[in-house]
Amino acid sequence: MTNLPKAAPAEGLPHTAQATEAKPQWIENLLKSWNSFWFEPTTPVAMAIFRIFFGIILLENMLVHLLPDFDLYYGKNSLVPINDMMSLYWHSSYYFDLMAALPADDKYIYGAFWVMVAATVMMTLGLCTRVSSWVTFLLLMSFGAHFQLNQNAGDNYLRLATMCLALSNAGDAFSLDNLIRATRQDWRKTGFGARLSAPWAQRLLQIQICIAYGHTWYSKMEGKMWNDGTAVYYAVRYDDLMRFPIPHIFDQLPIYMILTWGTLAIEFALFTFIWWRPTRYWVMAAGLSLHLGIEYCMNLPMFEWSFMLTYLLFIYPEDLTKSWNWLKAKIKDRFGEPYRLAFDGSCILCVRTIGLIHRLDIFGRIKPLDFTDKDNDAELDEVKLDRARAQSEILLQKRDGNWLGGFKAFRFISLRTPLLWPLTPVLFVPIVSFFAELMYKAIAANRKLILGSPSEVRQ
Amino acid sequence: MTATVFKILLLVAVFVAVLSATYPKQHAAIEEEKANNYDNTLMREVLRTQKNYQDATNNPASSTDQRLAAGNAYAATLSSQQRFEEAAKIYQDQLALTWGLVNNAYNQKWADANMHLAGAHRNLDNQPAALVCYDSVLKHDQEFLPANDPRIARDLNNVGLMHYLIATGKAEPADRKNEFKTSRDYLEQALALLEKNNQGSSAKAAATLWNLVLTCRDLDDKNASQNYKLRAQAIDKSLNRVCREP
Repeated sequence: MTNLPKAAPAEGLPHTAQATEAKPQWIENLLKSWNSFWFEPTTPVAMAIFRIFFGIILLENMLVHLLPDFDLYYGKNSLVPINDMMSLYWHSSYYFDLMAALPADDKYIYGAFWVMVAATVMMTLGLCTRVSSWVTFLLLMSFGAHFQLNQNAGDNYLRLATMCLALSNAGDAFSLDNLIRATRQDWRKTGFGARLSAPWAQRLLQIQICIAYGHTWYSKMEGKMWNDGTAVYYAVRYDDLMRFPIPHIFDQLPIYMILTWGTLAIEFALFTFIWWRPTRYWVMAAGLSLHLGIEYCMNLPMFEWSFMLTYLLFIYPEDLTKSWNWLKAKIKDRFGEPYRLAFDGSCILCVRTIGLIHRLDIFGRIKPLDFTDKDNDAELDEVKLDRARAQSEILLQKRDGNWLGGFKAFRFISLRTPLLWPLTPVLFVPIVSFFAELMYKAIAANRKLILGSPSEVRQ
Repeated sequence: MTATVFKILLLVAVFVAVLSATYPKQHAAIEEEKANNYDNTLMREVLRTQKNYQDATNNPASSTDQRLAAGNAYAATLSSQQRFEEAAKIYQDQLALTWGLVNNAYNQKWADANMHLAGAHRNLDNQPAALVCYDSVLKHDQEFLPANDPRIARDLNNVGLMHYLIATGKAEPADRKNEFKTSRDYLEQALALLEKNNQGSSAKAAATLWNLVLTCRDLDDKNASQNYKLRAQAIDKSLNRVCREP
């Protein structure tokens, strides 16, 4: 680019550089913090774990709570048919209800329900995550509007959280989308880390839960019974929602006062001290005990679990990694060193397959070693790798030092990789293993013809 | 950037499509509700019947039958709105209107007005006042109708039922028992009269029998109560009626 001479300032006008006064340091810091809070790229792992468990809660809500009484709520002859719902509850407000836009027939309502279930399953698995989570959100909203009388605060929270999920990059980790994307990459260049992205949707959800706690705390502070310390006594005796009674030994006024005021203290901390790093995990632990206590005493389907799950989003990424590494170390202590898996690094198909296995191997039970990489020579020579055999199939070393090759190695891996367990029994069916072995041999023999070598493949 | 804008536009399009497809239905539902809403319809009906009633009463040329019909229609709509006191007032006026229509003979219109008035008092939970009305109809019917007329059985059943309801509100056991006995006496007379008219297996007999089931039960005469119950159930079954036991 050519360096153009700077234009001189017009006469009488101050120079641009002089006109722009430097912002005060505190404003600079504030803006920096603001940007960092909302937009500094971070790992989507927390959001992805949240997505999986949250999807399970949604499915439980749909299949256990809604489906058995589906006709009563949403059928053509429901308790409050849609026309009455519109005239008596919607009034002139706008509501998003996809089913109301379709012909009034139960088959469309059922169809929409099963689409919602399918979308939720896909969202949970992370398949077409963005689209599936939007479809889930839009249909959740539709069903919420279609029959407003079975909605409580828990349902509202589910909708809000699903919207935040749809806005987030929750599909960038622990997802089929990610696995599919990974099969197109050479992990030796891209690594295995999840794609970093701006966490603003995660922050929205964090703030949302703080607003919920702030609101409930403020409302309780205005209540007489919350102030005199008896509220929990009545709450745990609310017949409609009662699950288990408080054990007799704790059924005492001083205990109820501690529980009542303790609830206020914990809820206050959950929208204030949770943002302060030194107290965050303590506050979360207190919040968990509060919700588990409520879950023990009161039957509020999925409400407590969806709130507790949201705490996942408050775990710092480095702590998530630390926790996972700790778990992997424990597994290693219990089950021994990971198994060596020798593969041909000059074959891109092998590289991608190994990448896939490594991603599925969440507990680190397999150690891939590229036998074409000089750095691995010492280790592979020590374990006496048959390099000639390794040219024709992947090899996995068992504990007794023997090597398993090809399909048998895959089957061995599947037994030790929990995410592949659903597939494992099939791999032991004789006819399947026979054909799978043939197929493996055919693919292995022509592997370089399929995708070529790394240098020939466009990344 | 283009992809993001496209996604946002797609989402907006979905919202616009759904809302614009839904809103006409919503609007139609609101309009239909306004037109057919039960409370609104009833209010219109009250206004209409009130006007008719006022026209009939203010018009010197209108006949007694016209006034009675207009009054009955107005009082019925008022009752549907739970405005029982106003309905009772109309029936009260009808008593005065019909009393002089017949001299020394059976006065059907007066009896009907009195029965309506009794119904209004029952709705107001004023059983003693209802009893006065039913009792006066009974006396009138006994005076001017043949001794075995089934309408007398109806009156006896009504009076018996009122005594039963009054008994349930008595605090003293002795007072209660006396009322139950009186009730049983009237009801058994009613049943006997129906049997004389070969209506012992009719729906009217079943109603009286069910009243007797309650009265005998509260008098602690369990055998009699059980017998009446079996007879009432047999009639209900023969008529294919599904009745909930009291």
